[in-house]
Amino acid sequence: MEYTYYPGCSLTKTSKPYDLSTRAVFKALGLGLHELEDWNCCGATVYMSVKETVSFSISARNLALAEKLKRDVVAPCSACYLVLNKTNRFLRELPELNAKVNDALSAAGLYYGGTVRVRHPLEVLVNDLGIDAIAKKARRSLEGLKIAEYYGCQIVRPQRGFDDMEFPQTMDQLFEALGAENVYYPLKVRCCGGMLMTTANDVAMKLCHDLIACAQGNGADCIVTTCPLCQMNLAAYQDQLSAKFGEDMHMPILWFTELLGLALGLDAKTVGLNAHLEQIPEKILSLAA
Amino acid sequence: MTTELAAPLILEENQEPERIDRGFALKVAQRAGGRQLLRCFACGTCTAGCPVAEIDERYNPRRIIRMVLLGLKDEVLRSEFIWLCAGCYTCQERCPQGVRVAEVMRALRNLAVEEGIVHPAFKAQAELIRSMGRIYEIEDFDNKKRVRAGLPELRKNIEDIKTLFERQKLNERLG
Repeated sequence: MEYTYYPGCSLTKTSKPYDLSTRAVFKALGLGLHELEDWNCCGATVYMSVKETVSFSISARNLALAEKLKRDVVAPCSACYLVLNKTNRFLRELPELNAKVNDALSAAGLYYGGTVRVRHPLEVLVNDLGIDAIAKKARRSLEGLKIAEYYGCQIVRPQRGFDDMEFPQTMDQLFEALGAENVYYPLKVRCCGGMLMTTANDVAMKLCHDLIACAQGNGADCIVTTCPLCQMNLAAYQDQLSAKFGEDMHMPILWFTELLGLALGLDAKTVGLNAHLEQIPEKILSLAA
Repeated sequence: MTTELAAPLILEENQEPERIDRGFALKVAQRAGGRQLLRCFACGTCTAGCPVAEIDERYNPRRIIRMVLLGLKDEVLRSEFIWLCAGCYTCQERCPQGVRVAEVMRALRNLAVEEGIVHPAFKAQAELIRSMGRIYEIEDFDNKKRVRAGLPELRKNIEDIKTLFERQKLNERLG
């Protein structure tokens, strides 16, 4: 199976391990991932808020480039996944917007017919390959590891895409099949604050505190997530969170592809575990030994 | 966020709101994802499930939607609250009337920008996208690492983005 890969801005910088591990996991599972040539920003939630017609146009440029390749697009970043899907949806619903966007695209010699499917790697792995097939390829068991699966907001809402929007299970089932123990984690789809970390810090800090405290309280060794911004908000401010709330808020925050990569026999560096801001404990690193 | 953008939400006795814009709700409804706004029956499910409202009660999606429907255009567009939505879409998915609450917040931000009001953090990031086509700059260092990993180099600036921006600007001027 072959896919067009849309890494998005975050995966080139702040979420490098997510990029490395996604590529490595797809390769290890025998799935082809071809990076979209000359991709640009998805339009990002930021630009959507400032000037939506321009945002839909720059978003649609990626889709127009991908449409020529006639493959599904895999977008690991939750915000990219949401924005590209939103562009698809609104171009379909609003003919006037579609005309404006395609007029702008034509200035760049492009046209978008609206046929590209934008998918998240978690959904691709679980639906196209299947949990059983993945588990058969596992070289190491995750037995003894306790995980809090954190999906964040934007892969389950607002499209109602591939899993339940209040209590998704895809990742839980995947890691259970790989031998891990899932702890009780009712905040699976609770917001991390997203961009509010920079614009309304108090709000985002409280949200992140609750997410980490809940995982710790239920005995998780780590939080596993699917989103660059969730990972950054939860991992990058652990010292500040500890100081602000007077509790130890340190905890490893992994992307699901990193842990999956370890289970598939990849080493820690290949999946990017050496490039985390937060401490990765021996319990997780020893999985790769 | 500077406080001069915020308008009082609660009026003093005998104080009139600056202006009622009777067409405001329809204007918002015409934006992408805005149409369902007119169905709101103010049940408050949006606010009850909002993770931001739980922490900072100044943010109240039901109140913002009510204000839009009442035509309190200036109060809404000048308030800092429309920039507090984190975009988690909980309100939108739970709304029994199908109001796309998060899309309404996005539409309101767009309308505020058209009035010349823009949050500085959003402005800074938007400027990056406009100039480079991405939020982060691709440096020589990044491309060297990509080549070593067997990946094609990424272009530092994407010309098409400028073309798209200019075409949109031209179209807006022509109406």
